[in-house]
Amino acid sequence: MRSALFSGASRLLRYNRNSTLLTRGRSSRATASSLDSQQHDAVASEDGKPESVEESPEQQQQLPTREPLAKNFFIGVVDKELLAYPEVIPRDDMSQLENSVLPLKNYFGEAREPEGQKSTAETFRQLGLYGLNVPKDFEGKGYGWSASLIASEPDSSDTSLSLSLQSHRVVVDLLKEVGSPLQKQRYLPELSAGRLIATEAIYEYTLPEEDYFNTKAEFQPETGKWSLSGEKAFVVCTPGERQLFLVLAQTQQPNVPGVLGRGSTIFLVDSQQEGVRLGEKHATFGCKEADIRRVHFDQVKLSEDQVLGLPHDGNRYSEQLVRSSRLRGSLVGVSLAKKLLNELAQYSVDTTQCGVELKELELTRVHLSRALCSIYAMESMLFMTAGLLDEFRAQDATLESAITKYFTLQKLYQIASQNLGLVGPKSLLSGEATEVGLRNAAQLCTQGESLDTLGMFISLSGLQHAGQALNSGVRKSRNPLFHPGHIFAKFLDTKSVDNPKTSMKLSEHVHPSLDAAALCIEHSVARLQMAVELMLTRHGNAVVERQSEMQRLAEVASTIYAMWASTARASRSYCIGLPLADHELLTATAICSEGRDRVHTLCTEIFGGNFVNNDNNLVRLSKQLTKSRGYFPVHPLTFNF
Amino acid sequence: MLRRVQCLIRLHSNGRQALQFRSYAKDGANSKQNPNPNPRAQKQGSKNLPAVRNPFATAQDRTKDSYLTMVEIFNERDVHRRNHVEFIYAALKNMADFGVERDLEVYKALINVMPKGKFIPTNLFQAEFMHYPKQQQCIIDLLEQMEDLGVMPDYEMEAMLLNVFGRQGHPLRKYWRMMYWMPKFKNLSPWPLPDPVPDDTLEIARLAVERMCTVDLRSKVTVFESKDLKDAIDDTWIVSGMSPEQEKLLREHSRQKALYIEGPFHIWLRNRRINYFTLRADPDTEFLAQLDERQLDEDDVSNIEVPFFGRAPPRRHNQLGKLRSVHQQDDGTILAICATGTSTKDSLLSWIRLLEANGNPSIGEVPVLFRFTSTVPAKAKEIEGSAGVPAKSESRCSENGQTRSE
Repeated sequence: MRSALFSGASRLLRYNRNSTLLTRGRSSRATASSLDSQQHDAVASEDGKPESVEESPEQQQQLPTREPLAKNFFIGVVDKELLAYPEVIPRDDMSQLENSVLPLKNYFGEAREPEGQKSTAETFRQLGLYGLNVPKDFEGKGYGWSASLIASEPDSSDTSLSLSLQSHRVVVDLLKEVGSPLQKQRYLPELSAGRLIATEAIYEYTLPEEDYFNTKAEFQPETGKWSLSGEKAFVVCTPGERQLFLVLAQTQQPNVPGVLGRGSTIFLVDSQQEGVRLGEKHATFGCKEADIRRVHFDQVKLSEDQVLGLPHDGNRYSEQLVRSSRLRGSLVGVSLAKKLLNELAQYSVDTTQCGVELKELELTRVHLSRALCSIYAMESMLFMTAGLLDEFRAQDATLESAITKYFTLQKLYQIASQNLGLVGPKSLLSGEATEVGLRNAAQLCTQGESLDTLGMFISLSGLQHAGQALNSGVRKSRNPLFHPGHIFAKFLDTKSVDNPKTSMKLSEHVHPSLDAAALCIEHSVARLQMAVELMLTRHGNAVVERQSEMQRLAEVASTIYAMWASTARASRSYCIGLPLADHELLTATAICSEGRDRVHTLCTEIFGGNFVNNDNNLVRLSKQLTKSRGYFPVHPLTFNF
Repeated sequence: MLRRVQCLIRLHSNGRQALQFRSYAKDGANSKQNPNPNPRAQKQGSKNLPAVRNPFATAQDRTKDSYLTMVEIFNERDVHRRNHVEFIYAALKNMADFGVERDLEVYKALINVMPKGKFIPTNLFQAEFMHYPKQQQCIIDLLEQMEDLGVMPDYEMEAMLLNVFGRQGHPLRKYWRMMYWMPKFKNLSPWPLPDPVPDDTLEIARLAVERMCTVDLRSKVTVFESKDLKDAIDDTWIVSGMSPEQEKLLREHSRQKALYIEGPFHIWLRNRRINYFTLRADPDTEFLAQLDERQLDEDDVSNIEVPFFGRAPPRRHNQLGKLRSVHQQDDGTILAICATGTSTKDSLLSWIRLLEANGNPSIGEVPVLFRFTSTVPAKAKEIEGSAGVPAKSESRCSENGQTRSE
């Protein structure tokens, strides 16, 4: 029993016996053998993965796929092995990586004098920033998810510059995953060297009422070419350089009329092609140094090998696309949050008001620590997700990456706006670090997907997963008279939101100091599962319309993942004795106890239903509000007679 | 027990009073219907009316000023103010002729006719057994008329009633009840009309169409002029209401299936009636059947969709990407509504042409049929020829009847 408490140690012992794993130098990871003991190992790697035939060597190195972690939270299942924080970069690779990151750190660390756009791109090329995640076969550095994130940390300290670099890397990620060998051969070396700078052109200024995109592409059978027309907005450009746009356009399948044949296709468009024109620069609120523009496509002729993946099937690849952009976008957010916190800490140490040191005020201290906890959680989630992607073959980390971005942006904005209260009116003077931070934070919140969309995505993905798993049970609960036994069993069940009964024994997989935190996670997962089951039972498949409850669900899920990742990280740090690991324990405990309360509140609200939790009132009000097209109450001093 | 008996008595006495009043009012109505009011005939017809000269019926200048002057003259005629109850009844009856029936000041002037202090009960029995019932009932009727017409009393009126009938007076109780309910009802209408309601038919028609268009918040109400078309016979206005949703439905409407202009239907705004017409298509039964909720298995939660890239959040009902709009009713799809100045076939034809010219080109390719519930003249000339009055939406019903009888 005692030995099981500390599984990290026991696992180390097992690794000693298993020499093949040791040669890879990964000391703490979920083992292949542990997967067999899992009850849900139906999804094995050979399960419908056609590309497994032509797996790259690094893919073969990866462990078999595991059940999705965060999605399983929705059905109350936890993968305890994943409480071991993934260490995916081997020891010697890590030191090598650190060495190669050093010049980047130096470059971005010291104050750079403003230089022209041209020379910036040139410097980046020399530093090799464009080829971090390009495979070695294509003249890149061949970093995986975690390594490339670590290597791009220095440049993410400059939010504006980082936007275009991250966008470049996202396109490389997608090209790596779904590009044909020909496309890889054609683009990746160019992209790696920075001769071609890639960027996503997905979002549009106004969304069409009916269709997916205003940008449309048509296949012309006589010439065998696609013709692309339309306009994309919010594209992070690097003017003066040759660019590769990743364009999502709406296409109509031949022979399938109407809505059913509507699809989207991903195109790779070279900026030097005829018909591509950079539009005006958006005067953005934040990230002002970034060149965010409109891009016009006017009857651009595209050959068939410029279609990424299968035509009309862009939605299928969207998953990979957003996963990558979410992860890389989160890194920018984490860096910005760190910077804001460091500046605020410095400020509160330096400032004394009326003889009171700012750092001694409880208000300041609580605020700073809250920000620290948030950033700790963000960072843990980011590298945990990247680790999952690196460690397991074709791991489903869609939800994890969405949660990471959702959580990061939400907390980042909180940190940035709470600074205002602490620093006072000075914080908003133009040019102040707090002001720039707030602007950039706001800009990041709108870059790509908005927070609301992300929240919807998180809860819908979770509900989708849960719906498949819980379908039969939900059907029984919704038809109680046909299934008296099922209902009777539910009656006898004594668990409740306030008092969840769990037997996950998560504490056996973390350091004993984190027992309490592990219990918080257990209870929260159980509450989430109960809430999901209740929502499905209450609303059936109309649950997709209960967006207010779904936002709660998204917050619950992201809180739980934050708790999970932080606990796993703190446990690892303490076990191997990293500096200040005891404070990491404290951080994780703080995150978990706050998270448990938040989850409890939200789940109680979900359980209360829309008449108890005030949703019904709000929905009713909104009806009149739209009818009156705005604020409808008359002036408080109005006479009626 | 005693209280209940008192209540019963009061109820009966009230009822009797009301009954008496009603017969009185009927007489009044009879006399009003008479085109040439003959005082003598009136006197013969209603025996229970005292012989009082009714200054209101004979007045030449029918304005608020002259009305108030007459009340003042009555007040100053003599100290006894004999027959003041009859005077008030007569004054109430003739308010509409003077156009003052919604004027609070006038009602106050009438209450002011009552002597102050005389009718205040001095003991409990007087109070409970309706001291001066005729006078009290008269003022109750006055208040009733105010209530019916939606004239809200004010605090000054309370003071006046208090001075005339005292705290226990029935008119004051009536006043208090009015002041409880009337403010609550005053703004209850979801479609408030401007106060005063405009007199112009075009304005009213526009209000009516706007009111009906509130079912779809994106509706746009346009006023067309038929003279913009070169071959229109009638020169009139057309108030047309249509929303982008309806435009879309019209675009998607099959070119083979006819559209119908139906009407005239009526909508009442306060006391004005507006005729309106709808452009309707037969219901798309196939589409509606697809949306039939009974075919959906609400219990099946195994395929929930997840949208990418700012796509609309999924809904239970649009699994095929389809949503039923409010315009798609079971008995037909309403594509547009209109009210025209003349309500003639020609003006409706102009409407269709104007719709075609203003963003709905597809309507030109679809057969459009008239389907009327009552006879509608072909053009304005016909109305003028038969009735000799300029066509107004209000008077049209009778004209229709005339054209039919011809």
